[in-house]
Amino acid sequence: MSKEAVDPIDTEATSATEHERSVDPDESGPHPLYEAAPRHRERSKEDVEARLTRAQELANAIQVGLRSVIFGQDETLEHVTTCLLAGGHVLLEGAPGLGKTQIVRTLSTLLSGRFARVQFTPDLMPSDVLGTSLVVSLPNGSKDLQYREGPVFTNLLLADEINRATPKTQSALLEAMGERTVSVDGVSRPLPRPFFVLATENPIEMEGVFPLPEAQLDRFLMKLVLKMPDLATLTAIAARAEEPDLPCAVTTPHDLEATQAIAREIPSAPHVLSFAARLVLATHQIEGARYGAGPRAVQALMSCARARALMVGRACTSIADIKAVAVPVLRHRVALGFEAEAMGVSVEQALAGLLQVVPDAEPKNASGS
Amino acid sequence: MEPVHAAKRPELTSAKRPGVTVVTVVEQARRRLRAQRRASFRVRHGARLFLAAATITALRPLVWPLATHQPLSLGPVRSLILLVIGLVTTGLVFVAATRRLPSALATARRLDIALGLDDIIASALSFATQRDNRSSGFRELTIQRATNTLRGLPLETILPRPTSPHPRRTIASSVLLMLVAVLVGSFDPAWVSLLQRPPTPEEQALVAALVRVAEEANEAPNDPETIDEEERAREDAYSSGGSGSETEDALEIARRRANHAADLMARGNREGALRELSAVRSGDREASRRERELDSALRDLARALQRAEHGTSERGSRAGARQGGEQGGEAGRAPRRARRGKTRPASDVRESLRLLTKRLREPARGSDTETAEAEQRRTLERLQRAAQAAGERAARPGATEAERAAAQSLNRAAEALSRGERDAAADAMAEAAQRAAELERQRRAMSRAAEQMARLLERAGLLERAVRLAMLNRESQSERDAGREGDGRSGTAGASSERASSTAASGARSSALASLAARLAGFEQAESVGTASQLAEPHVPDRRNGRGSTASATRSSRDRVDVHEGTRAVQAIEGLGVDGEPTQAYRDVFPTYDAVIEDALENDHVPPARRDVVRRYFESIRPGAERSP
Repeated sequence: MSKEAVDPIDTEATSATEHERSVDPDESGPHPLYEAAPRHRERSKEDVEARLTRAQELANAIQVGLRSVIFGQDETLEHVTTCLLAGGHVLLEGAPGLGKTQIVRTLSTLLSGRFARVQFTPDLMPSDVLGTSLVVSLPNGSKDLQYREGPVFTNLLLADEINRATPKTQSALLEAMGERTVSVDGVSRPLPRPFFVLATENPIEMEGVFPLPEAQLDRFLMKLVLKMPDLATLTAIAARAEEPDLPCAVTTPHDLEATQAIAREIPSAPHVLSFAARLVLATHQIEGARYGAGPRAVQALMSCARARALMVGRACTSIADIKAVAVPVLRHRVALGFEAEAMGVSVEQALAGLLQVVPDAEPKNASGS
Repeated sequence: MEPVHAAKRPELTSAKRPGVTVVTVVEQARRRLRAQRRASFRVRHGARLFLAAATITALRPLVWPLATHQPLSLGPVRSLILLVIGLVTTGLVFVAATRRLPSALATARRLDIALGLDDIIASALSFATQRDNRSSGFRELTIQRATNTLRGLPLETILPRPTSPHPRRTIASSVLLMLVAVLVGSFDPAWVSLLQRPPTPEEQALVAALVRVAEEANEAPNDPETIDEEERAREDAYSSGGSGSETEDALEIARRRANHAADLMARGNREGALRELSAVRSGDREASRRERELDSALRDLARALQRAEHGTSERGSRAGARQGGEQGGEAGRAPRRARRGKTRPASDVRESLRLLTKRLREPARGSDTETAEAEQRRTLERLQRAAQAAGERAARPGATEAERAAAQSLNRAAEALSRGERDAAADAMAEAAQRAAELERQRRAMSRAAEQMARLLERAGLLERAVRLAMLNRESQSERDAGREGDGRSGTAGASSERASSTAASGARSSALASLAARLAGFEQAESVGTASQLAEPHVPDRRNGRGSTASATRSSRDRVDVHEGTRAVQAIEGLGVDGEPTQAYRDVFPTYDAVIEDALENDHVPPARRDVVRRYFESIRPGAERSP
């Protein structure tokens, strides 16, 4: 993997040393399971079970690798892994120093993919993120415009303090997140796969920021809130060296993409789909809500539920999966009004109450046959 | 999701079809869950349902009370009926609440929860029963995993039936609860009085006698032998106007009250029985009063016509002697009969009116104009007097329609005659004769009813006396029990040792009881020998024949009191008097005299000229006479 260095963006890439420690995709090659199992071919039950087992092991390896570096944020790490397997992007909110960058760096190491970090500032331009065409001298002496890729062309992108950039720059990135392509000078360029963006927000310094509009927030699969670790976690962190050793790579981008494909294959029973739909509809019934979640929220819920089912080695989704991912998936898709805020009700509290209210089964089914 | 029924889905019964085990096990689990729900319902709500049924049963005195005429033994029967209704209702509630099977999806989810699975069985069931043929390895894998989980799964273990911790204790408690509920539901306040103050044998015998007489009273008016054939034919001839329904109603009410009193006695409610007996007496008094009024009306009318006819007959006899006619002789026949008191006043009225009508239609032959005019003037005067007397009667409150009609007819006759319209006057007089016959029929009906009511009253008086004695005896017993005995005065000649040791007052009451018992024994003995009518004869005056009977009266009492029925009353007063003071109210004793008074007034012992004075005297001493009209 080549090192990325895009000025003036503070961009990092995995070092050669880390590459050496990681699994070389060229050496290991794609996993035989994925090679032997074309996507749309009928597979035997044993074959499917083996694929599922392998995917579960991969998910577990990622989580174990993350937990070996990040302490006290198990739930966040689980959700990050879920988003990674679901092929979505994560918006991380937390105070500085809680390990946001470390999560992305560790993840890039585990995946042995390309990693880039962009520190969003108010003067950051879209071209600084997407790339631009530069005049270059050709060997024959003539000059031509040559496109130079921005830091967005990576597998894992850390968009640090994304709310400090102007909306123009934010929208440029968010468009790339949604389309997974970059269009510059009329030419559409696909982003490498997998493409995983982990954006961060600092909730403390809110002066001079440009909050992300709700439509843009919808592009993130989950919004995770990092909490201050407890005493035991802090003690463990204190006992550790300042720079922990990064774990070895456990997979390759190719295998990760294949795993994401497996996650998309996991079926859902009608009652699970119904619960997700009812849950999303119920967000519009929250007292004091300005608006509720949209149809994309149902897709997000089901994607996350499938990824979560894969992580536990289950061949189908369940209502428990929906409930487990409901709050991070719906948190940024529901906005409460002034009345609710005045009453001290947070979105998380409202969603937790909603999960208690919405029945698992539809009322007509619950009444009997 | 649609409910799954393996029997209705042939494709699911195929062994090659995936998910057969899942569907089958889920179906079994549904039935198991229903049984579990029933058991759970029974354990959780069974006590409440039983309590509800027991409450309904225990509330029987409120929701289904016994009427005063219904026997107390009906209380437990009704309680049992309510218990059965309550249990059936609770059973229906139980069946309705647990009838339906849970849905297949809910059952599958319940299995998931019981097995600690996350929607695997529910999802497998959905995949197995979905109608789309999309095949997915993960679907089949899910079904396979669910099948592997459910194969050989002991449903009894994972879906256990809830059981009562103490089944025997629960059953025993339920049975005890039901018994208590039935006992409480059987309770009636009458039980208390019945247990505290059960009816004495004398009271029971008198109650039986009262009921028997009441039944006889019910049948007597329909007895063809009780009504004279001649009278019946005469009544049929004057069939216009009202019948004796008022009389029959009064008798029926008295009979019902007597039966009600008997029912109350059977329930130990002496106070209520006394009230009913008092009401019987009031009814009898009212019937007697009504009969007297009718009789008085007829007598007044007859007297008015009689005085006129008497003078007329004398003059008519003289005129007849002179003229050799027979009209005066016929006119004088009725007054003579009336003087003898052998005929009824209505017959006199009818006879007088008939003669006057005949005289108006066929004037005496050979009489000159002056004599005829004088005769017509005298007839007019008689009619005017009779119309005035009838009008005064009709103007009184409570007068019957027949009285008013008779007065109107007489008025019309007088007016017609004053105008010289002899035929019209004759027609009106004929009509007045019909009204008089109607009045007579009403009087006779009232007399028969009063006769029956007098028999009822006879038994009612005996029963009332026995009840009062029993109540007094109980009070004195209570006093003795409370240590408030008298000063040790020796008792009268009592029969038992207990009575001998009681006070003089209680001795007097005991002797009264003994007297009553002897009296009752006399009744019973007589009834066992003779017919019912003969038995009633000694105690009830025969108003038709105007004779009183003393068959059951003792010689000593006859010597002591010359009034036949008064003997019993004197005995009662003597028996009830304690320490020289009568405990029986005059109001209660007087009705016994009432029939005797009427008997005496019907007899020839009282001179006709003094009868009104004697009647007014007894009217004046009648209890409540100042209130009666």
